Formats: sequence, structure tokens, C-alpha cells
Amino acid sequence: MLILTIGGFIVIVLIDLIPLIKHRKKFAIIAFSAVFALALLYGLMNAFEADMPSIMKAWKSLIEWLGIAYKLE
Amino acid sequence: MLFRFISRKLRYFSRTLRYKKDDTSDCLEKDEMTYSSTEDTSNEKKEEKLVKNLEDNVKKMQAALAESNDTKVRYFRYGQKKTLKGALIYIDGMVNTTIVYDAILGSLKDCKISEEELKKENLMDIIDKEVLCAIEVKHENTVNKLIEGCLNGDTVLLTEGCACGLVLDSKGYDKRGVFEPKSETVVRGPREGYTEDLRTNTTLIRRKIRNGNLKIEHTIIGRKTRTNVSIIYLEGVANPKVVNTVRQRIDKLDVESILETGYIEEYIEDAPFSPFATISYSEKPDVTAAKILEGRVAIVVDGTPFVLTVPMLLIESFQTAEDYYVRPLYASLVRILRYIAYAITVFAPAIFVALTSFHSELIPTTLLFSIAQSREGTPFPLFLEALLLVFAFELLREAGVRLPKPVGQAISIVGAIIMGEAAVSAGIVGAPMVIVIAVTAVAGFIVPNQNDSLSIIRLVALMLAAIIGLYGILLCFLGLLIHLASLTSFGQPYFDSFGYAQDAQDTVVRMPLWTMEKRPDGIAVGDTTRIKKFVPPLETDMANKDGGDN
Amino acid sequence: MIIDKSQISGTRFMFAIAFYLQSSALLTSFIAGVSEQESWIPVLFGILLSLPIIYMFRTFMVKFPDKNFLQVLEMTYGKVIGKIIGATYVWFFINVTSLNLLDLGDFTKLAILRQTPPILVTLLFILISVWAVRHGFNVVARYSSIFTIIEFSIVILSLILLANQIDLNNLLPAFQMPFYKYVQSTHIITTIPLGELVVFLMVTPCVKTISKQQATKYWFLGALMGFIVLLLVLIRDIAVLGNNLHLFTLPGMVSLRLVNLGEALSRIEIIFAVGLTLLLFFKITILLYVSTIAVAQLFGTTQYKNLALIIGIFVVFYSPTLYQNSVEHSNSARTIEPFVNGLFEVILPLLTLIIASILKLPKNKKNMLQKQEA
Repeated sequence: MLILTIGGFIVIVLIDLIPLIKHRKKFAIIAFSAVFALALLYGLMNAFEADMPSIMKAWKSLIEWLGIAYKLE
Repeated sequence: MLFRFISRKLRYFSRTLRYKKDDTSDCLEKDEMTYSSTEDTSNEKKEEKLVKNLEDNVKKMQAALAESNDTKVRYFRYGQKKTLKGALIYIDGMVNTTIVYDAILGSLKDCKISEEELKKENLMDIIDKEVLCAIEVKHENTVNKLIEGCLNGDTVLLTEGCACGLVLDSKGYDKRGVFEPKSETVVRGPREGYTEDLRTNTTLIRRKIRNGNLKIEHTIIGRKTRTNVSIIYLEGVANPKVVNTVRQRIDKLDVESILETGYIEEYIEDAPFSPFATISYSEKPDVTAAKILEGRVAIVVDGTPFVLTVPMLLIESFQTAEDYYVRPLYASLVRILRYIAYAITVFAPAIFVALTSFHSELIPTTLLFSIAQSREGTPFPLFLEALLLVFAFELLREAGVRLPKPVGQAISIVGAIIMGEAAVSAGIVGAPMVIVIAVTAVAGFIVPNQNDSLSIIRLVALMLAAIIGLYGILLCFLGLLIHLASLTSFGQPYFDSFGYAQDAQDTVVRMPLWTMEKRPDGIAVGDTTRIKKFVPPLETDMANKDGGDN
Repeated sequence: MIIDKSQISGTRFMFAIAFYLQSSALLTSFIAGVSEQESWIPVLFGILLSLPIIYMFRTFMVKFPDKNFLQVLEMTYGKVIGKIIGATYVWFFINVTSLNLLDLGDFTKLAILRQTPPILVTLLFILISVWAVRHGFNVVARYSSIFTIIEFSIVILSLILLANQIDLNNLLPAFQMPFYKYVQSTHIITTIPLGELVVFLMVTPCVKTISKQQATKYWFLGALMGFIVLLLVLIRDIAVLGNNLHLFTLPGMVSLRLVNLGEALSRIEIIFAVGLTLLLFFKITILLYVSTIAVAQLFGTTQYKNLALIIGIFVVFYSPTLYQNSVEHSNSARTIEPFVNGLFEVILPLLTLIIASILKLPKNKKNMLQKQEA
């Protein structure tokens, strides 16, 4: 599973990053690297089956702190 | 050593993969750059001019034609006192000998002009205008052009003292007659088909459209084959951008040989890697004439009876010429049948494999029992059975095309009995699978133009169905839709005819001809109305003449 | 700068809106849990409440015809704050994409392929979506008109087939529940299916020129078509299932399962599954396209095609981490999501519009028709 994930990411780099480097589009490379880092993080988390902190939990605590959340039955 | 070889192959492979038209809507603008004609890049070493000595000229011509055995040279003397020497050069078998001897040689021998007049500078002009009886005469002074004339079937006339030659039209090679084409038969409609001669084909189109605006342009492409190619369109109706694009793409071709329109199709098409053809072809002149009238451009190539038309829409594969000659209700029914047949032939094996392997609960129970029963003794998983049978069917089909006629009966018996019955009774494949594949195969013949695409998509759908069942088929269908949406053919979107009501007249059903007031959207530019007034056939004077009976 | 040069016509845009709304019609379980069989009332109120929101979106389109929403944010708030709010919007779009992908994964795991790990299912799905996004918006929205009509006919057909099981008395009694439930349901309906139209603010540069009246017409007609289907499906489900509506995760599927026309037509829910997958495909493709354009706009590049794949893969891996299980998902949809969505769909655009009107933006206001004629 881990090998498949890493293989997949290498394929993505080959497909998308190399044309960007060839044409030297700086901002696109920055954007790609940012999203790639995040995706790699989440992918490896998934492969190792580790728990990732969920952003929705943060929103949940924020909204409950504001006191406007609806109550569940 | 091996590493260099592999790296070279990889670089070549990546170069072909990277070829794509990045924005297909711009392809027309890109091609409107300047281009250079390729006519003069070939045969550079043969850019020889003629000299005044007759023998040298004849030797040059024979050398240019590789001293072949079928190059014939006929010397003669002409003039009032028969002192001027001349020579006729032609290729045996390509000329009409009656024309050469009776019309050309005969009129030269009957020439009564005196030698003094003939010794002037405009010798060839005099011979051309006053002596000869040939239909088409061209003045050339390079060996290149002269042998081109010879190779076309014309006769070359050379005389002593003149560094100029005449090319006289005398074509007389054997041609096939105009018969019904074997690939597109109709029950009702004209049965003329194209032949291998360019002039016959363009004449067949001209006889369908007797309009002065029908323009026929001519070029010669192919370095070695020097094939004659004609582009035909209706001026004022065809889109000038498309015409320009076709002309430029064909002129830019720097290839060695053009043997069939399939060659040109591969060189000028918009999507070389797609399973779908973006250029359509036909073997019948009435089909091509109808497409020219809609605003398309036809490409005729000497040596093949298949004529290309651009641009192409996917809908055209589902329309046949006969649709427009039979009644609209029946034609609409048959057209819907064609769509259903295409869906069946592409997805039926995949759906069967998916349903029986993954989603057995969707099959009605009694059918499920009989399918399970038939799978009792079969060794292979269903997917392999399906692949085997599809492969067997492709074998049969290919063999059927290539086999000689006397053996045909035997092969069909082999196919039916051995592959059908015996395989099932031996327990190699199950009977339901044979039925499904047989239905698939038969349905595949209903849409013959799309044969290349549906074989590939059938296999892809089968693979995906074997991996993830119905969901895979759905993904294959979606992928197909996305791919079709991204194809354009010379600026026209390939699969857009279901979107708006105006185009629906001729796509899903065939509306009566008196409702089709305009040409299909987007293809024709300029004159877009077909009929000027909407005239339903019932409101004529005959209907209400007398109410009662006499 | 213009990121995507493809142009679609106004009617195609209208059908894209209609299609987008229709694809939410089949997943009405989250309000069914709150206001069980009276869900039709909040839906009606939600439709009425969303009309001014749609008018606000249309105003954005009229004022800034060739700027997508992130560019509008930058123009209104200045570069720095504009980019920060733009980044939160990028997160929002990716979040909505992931939630829809999660819906698809859960649905597939529940109904079609029970033993396949959902990540494989979503991965294959996203690959095809990415392929569509790379071709531009023209391809993404190409089939909206034909699929809207097909979906509409399927809904009508299912109504006819279920005609013997529909009991309109199930819609009554009305107004029996405590008031806050209606408020909650209306809030949910307004923000989750109907408010997600905010994503169409990112594709305004791709729409060919339209005048003010035409913009209004396209937005409202498209929304109307979506509303009709939403209402029809909901009323059909309530009428068929009655009190038991809140017990099912997929009420549409259950009501289709009840179709029994003789012996032949008895397993129609496969059509529901196919239809839902098709609808979700186009919804997720449009959302993925919007996310890609937003990321490209944020970083200031026009090469959105090369970013599509990596954003898709990110969404695939991000979506299972959002919630632990589907119960938590539907709970969150009822309690938290209305506020989160409401912030991004209503409050921020309204604020932006007010500030833009105060600042009298856009500065060089050309007439919409003139711009395209040039």
C-alpha cells in the first residue's frame, strides 16, 4: 500500500511537474509544491493508517464556543 | 550500447506522446500561417532543361524514366518536305494508342506548313495551335515536368531545334467501371460507387451537383508517388476557414507516398490518438454530394474509391444515405435502433460480466438459475470467457474479410458449429456468454463506420467491468463522454448535436425534409437556408379541390 | 489575468446551475433527520430564502463580468487581506469537494460495492474528473443540458411508477413541530444544497457575454429548474415513505425499491444508483474545476491544468479524514455545517458586495455587451 502510494506520487510528479519546470512557470511550481506537500502528508498518513486531526473538529469547537450550534436529539 | 538504444527509443516515444494540439479551437488559427509549397523540393537533381538537340533530349528523358522497357520513343519527320525531325515519347499501357497515332501523329504527318515557317522561334506554338488535334496541350521545358506528363499517361512531343516540349493529353489506361460499392449497399437509392480514377470520381460528384459554384482544386502530393489530389467544396456555403485549413494541411505534407485517403486522413486529422475518426469517408457519390451541400469539404485522391469529407461529427456515423430516401417515420425508427445497437455492442459483454460476477442480485431469479447452471462445468472465470469469445469473433471477422470466395462456406460452418455449438457442449464456454457475444457481434455491424472505435471501447469496458463491476462500466461511460466532449474536428465540436433543439432535427430522429429549413449549425457559412419557404405537403391545391365524389 | 479561455454560452450556464442543484436532490437525508415528514415546509421556505442569495450572486456576475470571485476579493479588500480571504475560500471549495466525494464513497460502500475500500472507488472517480478538468470548463459543463432533461424525465417516470404508492396524506399534519426545528431545517436547506451555488461565481469569466436581464434570467431559471426537481423528489419520498423517512440514509433508493410493476420492473433502484453516480460526477467535476481555478488564482498562475491532478489526489486523501464515520458526518451536517457554509456563502459575499458598492467598484466599468464585442 505504501509502495503504491509513493509510486503514485512519483507518477504525478513525472506527469505534471516536469512540464512546469521545462516552461519555468515559477508560481505554478510553488502552487504545485504546496499542494503536493499536503497531499503527500495526507497520503502517507493514510498509508500508515495514522489519525489526522480533522479541520471540521476545529470548526465544531469554534462554533460551540460561540454558542450557536444546534443541539442534537 | 543498450542504454543508448533504450534512451533513444524513450526520447522518440515521449516526443510522440507529447504531440497534441493544445487548444483545438485554435488549430484553425495556427494553420493560417504562411507555408511553402513542397512541389519543388523533390527531384532536385532532375531540374534539367531541354537542349536544342533532339537526340540529347530523348536521352535525357529516357534516363529520367530509368530507361524502362515500357518507355516508347517514336521518331518521325514532318513538315511540307518532311525534313524536320521529331519524337513522341510515351509509356506503353498508359496511353490511348488511337489518340497517339491517329490524332497526334496523323495530324503531324498531314502538316502542310513549309519548313521556313516552322524554323522560327515559336515552332511549338505553331504546332500547338495549327497542327495538332490533341485536347489538352501544355508547354514545358524541364525534364521534370515532361516525365510527370508521361507518368500521368500523356504523350510528350519533342522536335529538333527547340528546347521546349509539348505534353499532350492522351490518357488511356484501364479503369474499373462504375459499379455498386461493396461496402455500402442500399435497398433504395443510387448504386453508383467511386472508382480508382480521379476524373471519374470528380465527374460523379459534378453530376450530382450541377452548380457553377462547385469548386474543384487540384494538387499533387507525395515525393515518390506524385498522387493527384482534389479538394471539392461549394463556394459560398463551405466555411472558408475550413477550406484554408484543409488546403494548408495538405500542402504542408512532405511525405513520400500517398496511396489511399487513409494516409491523408492520418496526416491531417485533429486527434491522432483518439479511437474515434474525425474525418469521415464514403464510397458513394450521393453521400459525398449531400455532405458538400451541407457545407463540408471533400478530398478525392487518385487511386482509391474512398472520398474523405471534413469536418465530421459523431452523428454522421449513425446516418446513412438511405435514411433520406425512405419515409421519415421508418427512418427515425431505424436510427434509434442504430443508437441502441451501438450501446449494445459496446457495453453488452461488459454488463453481462459485471452483472453475473458482481451484482447477481440484479438478475431475475429464473434467469439467474439458468446462468448458474451453464456455469457449472466451465473452467474459466467469466471475464476470461468473454475475452476468449470476443477474440474468437474478431478472428472470424478478419478471416471473413481475407478469405477467398470458394472457401467462404466452409469457414462459416467452422465458425458456427465449432465455435458455437461444440465449445458449449465441450464445456469450455457457457451458452449465455455465446449468445451475448453473438448479439454484440451482430449489433456491431449496424454501425460500420465506427468499427475501429467500438472494438477498443468494448475491450476497455470489459476490463473495467471485470475489475469493479457496474461502477467500472459507469466510469468507462463517463470517460467516453468526456473524451467525446473534448474532440473537435476542424473547428467543429465532435459531439454537440444533442444539446440544442435546432440540431435535433437530424440527430435522434429524422424529421421530414420539409422541416429542415437550415443547414446544420456551424458547418456552413454564408448561405445557410435549404428551402426558402416552409411547405408542408398537405396544403396544396389538390387537397380541397372537390369535396364530394363525382 | 484570465486563467481559462474557454467560453460557454448562457443557456449552458443555466443548465449547469440546474444540474448542480438537481444532484443535491437525491441526498436529502440530512434534513429528513431533523424535520421528519414535514421537510417540505422548510424546503419551501428555504427556496424562498435562497432567492435573495441568488440575486446577490447574479449581482456579482453583472458587476464583475470577467473576474472570478477571488479576483473580486482582491479588488475589494486589497492584496493582502484579499489573498487571505481567498485562501480561506480555497479551503472552503476543497472542503465542499471532499464532502461530496465522501458522499459518493459512502453511497458506493453502502449500496453498490460493499467490500471495496472506498478510497479505490473515489480514486478512480477523481482520475476521470481530473481528466475532464484538464480539458477546460467547456468539457466540464458540456452535458449539463442533456443530463438535466434526462434527470427530469427519470424523476417524472419514477413519480408515475410510484403512483399507486403515493399517499399525499403523509405530507400532513403540518406545523406540528417545535419552531426551532423549522428554523434549523430551513438553515440547512439554504446553505447546503442551495447555497453551494457560490461556486459558480468562480466561473463567470467563462460565460459569454450576457446583459443584465439575461443574467437574471439564467440564474433564476436554472435555479428554478433545480428547485422543482428538489421539491418533487422530496414530496415523492415523503408521500411514499411517510413517517419512516428519517430512518433511512437514502430515502430515494428505498422508495424506488418499492416499485413493483408486475414482475418485470422490480429492481429500479439500480437506476437510482446510476443516476446518483452520474449526477455526483458532474457536481464533483465542477467543484474540482472551481478548486483548481481558485488555487491557480491564489498563487497567480495560469497553469491550472497541471494542478488538477495533485488537487484531486489531495481531495481523495483528505476526504476520509474529515469524519470518523457517516453518523458523525450527518450530525455535523445538521449542526455545524450550516454555519460554516453560511459564513462563506452568505456573509462574506454580502460583505464583499457592500464594500464593493461603497468603494464604487469596478472602477473602469465597461458595459457588458461592449466588452465582448471588442
